[in-house]
Amino acid sequence: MCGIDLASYNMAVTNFSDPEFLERLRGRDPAAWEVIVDAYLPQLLRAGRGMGFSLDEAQDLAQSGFVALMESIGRFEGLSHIRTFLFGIFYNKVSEHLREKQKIDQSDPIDDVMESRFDLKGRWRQPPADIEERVFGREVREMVQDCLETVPRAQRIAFYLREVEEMQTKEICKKMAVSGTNLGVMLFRARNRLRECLEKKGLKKG
Amino acid sequence: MYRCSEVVRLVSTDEYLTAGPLKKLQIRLHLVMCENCKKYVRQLRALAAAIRKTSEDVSASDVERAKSHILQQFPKK
Repeated sequence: MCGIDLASYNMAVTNFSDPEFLERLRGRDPAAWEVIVDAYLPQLLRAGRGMGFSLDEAQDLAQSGFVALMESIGRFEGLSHIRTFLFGIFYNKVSEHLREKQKIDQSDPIDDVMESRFDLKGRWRQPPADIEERVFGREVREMVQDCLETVPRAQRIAFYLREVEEMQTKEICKKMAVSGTNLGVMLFRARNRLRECLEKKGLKKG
Repeated sequence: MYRCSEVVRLVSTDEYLTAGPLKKLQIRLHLVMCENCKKYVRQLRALAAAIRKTSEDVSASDVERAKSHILQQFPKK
């Protein structure tokens, strides 16, 4: 039996709330920890990449979650807490990154772009153009990816938590340590920046 | 009646979600009548759906590499 098969075998027979399995985790049984990594690493990496971190950064964020979990596994009573804890640590690390690297700017070029789209009476001066359907499709995901790269990290994280994780705004404010107003500003900028970018890339011909 | 710029702001900041019933109704009415704002909102929705799709992409080999790295870094007994 090769390594991967063993892991899926483990997964299949492991009842995640089995006290015996928890005991193995506490005893730092490598096979038990591999089951945990297999179960949650893909989700953590996806979240990290989705928020604009490089693969290496996403891996480091995930790793700090697993290490912290290992250090405090003694306090756990059930596996349902493990996912919450793991993601909790993960998002804490993400917001540490934010505090170091980015704060919310007073002004942002996208604000001017948006302002220029309306006249003084608040009517569209430059209405949204038709965007080709294929821009949103799977086959041209590089377009979406390219546009995502233009979004500053804090905005991108806010946008990701809202649209992909589908978190409540209150929860995002707590995780990112920002006010509701600031979160609104970040979402406004992220969404409009992305829409503007895709509009430029995917203008319907004719 | 809301202006287009106001509708765009309420929708893209998510303020719309926490608006009271009257405000929500006014926004909806605006959207029924305004083709441009309707198009704008449709595009934001399509954008969100596209983002959900792209974030599924972490290859199995990337996961494997990260996994072996992380397993090595685990503190030993």
